[in-house]
Amino acid sequence: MVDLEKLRFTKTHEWLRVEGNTGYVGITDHAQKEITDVVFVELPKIGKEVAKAGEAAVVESVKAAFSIYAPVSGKIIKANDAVEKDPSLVNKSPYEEGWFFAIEIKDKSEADSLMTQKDYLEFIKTGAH
Amino acid sequence: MTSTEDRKTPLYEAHKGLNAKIVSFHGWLLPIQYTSIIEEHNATRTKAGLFDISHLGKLEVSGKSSKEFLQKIFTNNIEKALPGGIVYSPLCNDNGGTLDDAFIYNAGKDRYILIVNASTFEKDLAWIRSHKTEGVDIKDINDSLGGIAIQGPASQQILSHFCKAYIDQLKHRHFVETEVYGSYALLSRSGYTGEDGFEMFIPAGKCIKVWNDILASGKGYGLIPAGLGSRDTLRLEAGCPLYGVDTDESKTPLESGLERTLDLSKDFIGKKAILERKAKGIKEVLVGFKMLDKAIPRTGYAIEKGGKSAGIVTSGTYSPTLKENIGFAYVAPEDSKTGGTFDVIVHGEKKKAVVVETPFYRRAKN
Repeated sequence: MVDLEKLRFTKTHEWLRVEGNTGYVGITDHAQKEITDVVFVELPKIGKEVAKAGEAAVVESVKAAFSIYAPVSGKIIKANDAVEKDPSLVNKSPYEEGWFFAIEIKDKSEADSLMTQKDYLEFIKTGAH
Repeated sequence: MTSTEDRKTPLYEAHKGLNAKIVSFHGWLLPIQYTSIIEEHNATRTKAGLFDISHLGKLEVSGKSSKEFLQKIFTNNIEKALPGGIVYSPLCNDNGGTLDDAFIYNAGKDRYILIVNASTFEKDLAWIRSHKTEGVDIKDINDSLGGIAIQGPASQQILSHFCKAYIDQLKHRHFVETEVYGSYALLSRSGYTGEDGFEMFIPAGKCIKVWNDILASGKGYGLIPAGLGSRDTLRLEAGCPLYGVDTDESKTPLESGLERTLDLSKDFIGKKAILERKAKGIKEVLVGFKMLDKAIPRTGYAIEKGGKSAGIVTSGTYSPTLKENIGFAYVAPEDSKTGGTFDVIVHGEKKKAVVVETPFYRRAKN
């Protein structure tokens, strides 16, 4: 099980897991429930440079398309093929198997400035989404 | 987002009790899903799904001139429905633009029940009333009745527990006015999903009991409650255009692929304009298409052909049954032939699509 307390969160409902200089990115359980059944995921190409809060991927549910924003700036170094093959992993396992891509983090302070789990839970409770 | 002005259907508390995700839909609070759109979709295709259809607009037209009146305001021939039968028809304005589409239930003895879209109910009512003639009585029966639809191959078996005598004999697109739990019920074999199924309109106060009892009886058959999300994917697979999305006042039935619902042997509002448009030649027509490239088409996406603007997507989705991405679009008549290809602009990129016959999905006949 992933330790949610070690994750960092964005107001656009992405999570970031930091391992050394690498940041893994996915969407939260709250977000996957909101967008309903995910049926298609379009991942960024390896090597692509992304800016913090810039669009990095697209996830489509039965209902609509949603942009996934990079929680931090950096270079895309991995994309999760498993989630491309089986997009329902985003619903079934949002924090583990359903991750989208990994970024080589440029500036660690960007990660530190994101919300903690406690902040995020408070953020969604107040309905600010 | 919900608004304080949204109305609750008689089944609202039942949806809450089932932990449904509630959305605002044309002024009504309705469930978009209970568990998962795909699960609800698949249950309806393979077993059965239970839907709240209380939001649909309901009107009663009666009186000795009611048939002549309906023949005048609807484009289709009302006489196609004998007493107990249902006819589908667009409702057009003087310019031939589509105001709505409706199901007209012939209840016999100069009485007709009209089921219209929730989004257009007030507009329809005003329009129909403004054309009222002598010998016609128009009654708004919207608030007194709630609606429940059970759709899917197991529907008949499930409903047999309640009103076997009627439903075993009921033919597709036919109805009876009967009793359920000692109260009036309009029970029809009809629906919007491409499956066998039934729709019932019953007094608002009876809805929760009937809903709960059908759910309990249907459990062993795999029946689950289904929301607006699956209703939309089911209707799209079944090739049913949705009013307000795939057609509206800017389109005549010629453009929206409903020429078969125009009875040109009679006079009706909009006929002259429609004939003129037909003579001049229409500029666009609604087609069904599927994506050849991996991408999901959505409402409003642009269509190009040879790099030039060639139309617009009106509805689109991932089809859970076909496991393909499908949609409806308006294109020029010359681009509308089955097998013809065009590009849909998805997230700024050209993705190939091909025109296909609709319905996209057709259930196997027994």
